[in-house]
Amino acid sequence: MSLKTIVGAKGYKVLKNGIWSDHPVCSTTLGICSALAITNKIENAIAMSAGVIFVLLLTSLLISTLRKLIPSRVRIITYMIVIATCVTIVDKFLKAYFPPLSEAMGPYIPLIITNCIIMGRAEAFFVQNNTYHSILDAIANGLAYSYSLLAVAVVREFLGFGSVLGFTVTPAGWENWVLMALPCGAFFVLGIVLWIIRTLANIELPGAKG
Amino acid sequence: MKERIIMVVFILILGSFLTTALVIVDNFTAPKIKANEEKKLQINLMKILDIPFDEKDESSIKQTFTENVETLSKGDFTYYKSKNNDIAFEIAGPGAFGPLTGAMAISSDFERLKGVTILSNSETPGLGTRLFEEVYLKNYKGKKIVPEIKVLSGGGAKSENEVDGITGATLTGVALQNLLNKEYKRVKPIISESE
Repeated sequence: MSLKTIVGAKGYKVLKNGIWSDHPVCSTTLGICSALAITNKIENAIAMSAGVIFVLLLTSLLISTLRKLIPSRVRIITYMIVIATCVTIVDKFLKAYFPPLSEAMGPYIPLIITNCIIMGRAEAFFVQNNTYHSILDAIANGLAYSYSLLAVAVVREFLGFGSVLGFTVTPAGWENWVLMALPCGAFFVLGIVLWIIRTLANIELPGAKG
Repeated sequence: MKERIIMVVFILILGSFLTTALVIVDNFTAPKIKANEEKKLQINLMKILDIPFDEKDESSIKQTFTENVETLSKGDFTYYKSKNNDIAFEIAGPGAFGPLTGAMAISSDFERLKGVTILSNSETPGLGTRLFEEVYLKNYKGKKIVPEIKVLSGGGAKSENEVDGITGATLTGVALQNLLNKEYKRVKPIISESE
């Protein structure tokens, strides 16, 4: 049984769009701020991805369920308070059960509130589609965000710290490439990742011909 | 008019529903967060008071702390005393770019620094924050805080009152120096009065 028959034709399209052809980071360059900031270690990237996926899921559930009730004039405010609540829950949870991780992430967990992927999907998808498809869209976009973050983080942690997930994997004479651990390293690596995914997924940008 | 009332009612209902959810989450996590902060403080106090402990053994940290450190208070002010009468207390004040909090320890005769630790700061990562690394703060051990400690950004510390700063962290160095001097002067009368 293929994935298409499980999730339905529209569901499949939603998944494919989110994960690949309409990639939130690579196609619409949303969520770049956090993708640049916390990808110096794989651990941070995983925590950030988990946080964003959780917030996306909860937001998609709430917004799509309430979509017929939300007065259109206050819809942005509605997204904001829903997203802010979810993010605060994530922040408290990390502070309580993973204090070192919460410290390493610093202000970037509360800043998930301003992650454009969540706002963008709420406005572009959750508020117009049913709960089932919204959740699929949330999963797809969350996964897309996660794997692009992981791709950047693996390269940066390996080159910048000589380790993978905190385990040293490089030989004794290895010289850490400090630039990669610093924020500017993220620009280079993210740029390359964007390039690769855009080329593979054949993403064409409006006004970028020739 | 009706549309506006619906708008307000909707936001009010959604807001109170979400707030309730947050209150519940807060109730569950608040004690745990408080315990984490307390543990972090205890670890850092033991570090600056030179009390050996096993950082990997989570359960023993609290025990080692209560066995070796006496927690005293005077009004709102709390301070800590080790077995050889060294005194430690929490400090807070302005850094160069935002608030600094931490703890410092002084010898029983109020003359010398035993140790300094910074728990939270908003300084520039990689520059100002280098001053708060344990390796650097070790330099403060044994320095004289009477009459004042000086952080020399250019280096070349000679007397017992002087510590070398770090190039690129001049402002943070000054902030740290002022914090230590100010907190020492604030705390000394309080503690000596109660001794």
